[in-house]
Amino acid sequence: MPHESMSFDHLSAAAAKRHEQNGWPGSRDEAWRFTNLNEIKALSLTPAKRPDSHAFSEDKNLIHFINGVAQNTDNISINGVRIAPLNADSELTTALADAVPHPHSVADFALAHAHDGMAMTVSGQVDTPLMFRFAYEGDGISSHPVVVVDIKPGSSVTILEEHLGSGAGLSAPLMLYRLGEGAHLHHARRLVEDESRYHLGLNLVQLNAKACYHGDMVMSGGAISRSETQVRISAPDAEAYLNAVYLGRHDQMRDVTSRIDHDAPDGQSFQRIHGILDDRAKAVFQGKVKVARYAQKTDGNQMSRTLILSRQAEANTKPELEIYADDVTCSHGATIGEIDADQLFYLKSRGISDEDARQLLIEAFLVDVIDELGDPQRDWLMAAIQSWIKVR
Amino acid sequence: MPLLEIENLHASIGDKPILKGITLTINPTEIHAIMGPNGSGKSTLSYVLAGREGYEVTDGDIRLDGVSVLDMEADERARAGLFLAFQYPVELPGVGGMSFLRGAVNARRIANGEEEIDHIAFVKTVREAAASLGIKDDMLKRAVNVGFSGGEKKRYEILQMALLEPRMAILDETDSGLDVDALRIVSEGVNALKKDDMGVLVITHYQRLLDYIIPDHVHILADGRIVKSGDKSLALEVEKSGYGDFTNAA
Repeated sequence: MPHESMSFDHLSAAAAKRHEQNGWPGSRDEAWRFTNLNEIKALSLTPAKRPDSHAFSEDKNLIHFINGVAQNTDNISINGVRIAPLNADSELTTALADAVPHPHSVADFALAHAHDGMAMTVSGQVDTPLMFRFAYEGDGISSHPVVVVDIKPGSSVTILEEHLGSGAGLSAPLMLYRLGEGAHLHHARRLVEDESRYHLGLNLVQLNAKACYHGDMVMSGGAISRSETQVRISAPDAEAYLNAVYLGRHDQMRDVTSRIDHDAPDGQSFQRIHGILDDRAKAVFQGKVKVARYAQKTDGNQMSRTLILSRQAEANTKPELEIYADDVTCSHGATIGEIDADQLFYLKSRGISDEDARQLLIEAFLVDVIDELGDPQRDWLMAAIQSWIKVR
Repeated sequence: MPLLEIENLHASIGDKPILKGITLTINPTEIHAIMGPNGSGKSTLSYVLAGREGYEVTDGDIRLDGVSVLDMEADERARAGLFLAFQYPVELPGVGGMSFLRGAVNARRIANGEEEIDHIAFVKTVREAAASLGIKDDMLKRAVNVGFSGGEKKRYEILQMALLEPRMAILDETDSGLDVDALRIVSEGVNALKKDDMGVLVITHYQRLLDYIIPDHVHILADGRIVKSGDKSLALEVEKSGYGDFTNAA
């Protein structure tokens, strides 16, 4: 049921209460069966304090967040983009309250500890890509950026969202992207924190009629990284594309979780998830597509492929289709395999060294997901992939 | 000095012996053909020569320019000048054709202490070589072998051979999947490359290819052994009477 006008403090207090009651999920919680949070619980986290204000370059399209708090919003001057503290925008605060599933351990944790959020409104065709750079620091510190982006009907924008930093702390970002009728969002994300860090994020997307969301993510950082995306298609003819590349090595854990609710007819969703795991790394992709009874003519596709570079690595996939409409096209597929011996031999028989041949095949496997992207997302994501591959 | 010496070569897949003592010497400029029925060990021979993993050499030796290649991996053998044209060229989705060709050529050049090839000059060289093999420009832009027809894949193998300028080329059933026109173009490509001192080993089931690439020596392989050797007339003999006589002899 929609909330009446709600303040951020009220939202935060309610979330704190839920988190106090429910705590973090354990392995018996189905949505967290593969991602063990014991390491994170053992951190005995302290919420980040509001940082002293930092001096930043005068980028007009780059918003710096330090431990979750936006720093330089006053610098941002782009036609059609308006930024305010979430606290001061009761409409978007209420929208967030309505959008957040509850209880939800990540959302409740983030809301409980966030000092405030950032509200951004986008109107018209914004040609300059916006960048959100979330930098984290400090051992035992948890950070909880809360951002609501409202893209007005018919508007379009590209947002590059990056999470980076060091210190044995937890990043728990909560994002809501709300797309009005016919709005377009190209949303690229790089999760490239240091190996010491933990990341549990919730990315909410709401699509009105004919809206189109392109979400492309590279997840290569953190000891444990989980990114959950929930898309709600609430009016006809909306489209969602979720592409993700996850990369894990050593003892890292990668968790890509998605849920797409088709609540209106003629919607489309396409998900492509490619992962590479080396050493003892583990990963799970769990993707749920729910098609409501009246969401006829829905087209829902999901494909997950994992390349395993070591016998000790472990990949899990858990597709879930829940379909109540009778006239839909839904599919899912999953493959888990090693580097193809025929392809490797073919390259080597041309004089290309074993190492170079493997690197070429790994790159080819990943490029497939982001090759068709426009600029600047393509090069920006490719750089994150290449810097991971180079360390091999 | 002989170019390629195969001496008493025995090889197995797992516990199963496939090659049971092959001896064959190929000198520079010579074209040899190995013919044989299905299951005689033809493809195994090509893979063992090229250094594919999973094939164990249990006895004998393979020498290229007098140096044993048995301890070399496939990529080292290729850089030493061995080239295998695949019976079934492998598709490499996501691997761009031009960067693949350049990577292969540069690997060889670096191993020989040469500079990496100039990018623009290389594109020109590739286009010219491709044109003479009837390979269209747009094929060069695609991922390696992806969406190529059977004939296009075989031409692409010969293009790679032309660019890599091997000492010794092994053509494994290069004629399979080719129509007569393609067969002629591919054969012309091979013959054009033969102008230097390259050696060629043609592995084939049918005599047809040998009308275009004329061998100096023909060997019949049956049950992992060479059961008869002769000149090109031997190929015609097989064409007429089949492999029956030879397989019985083995």
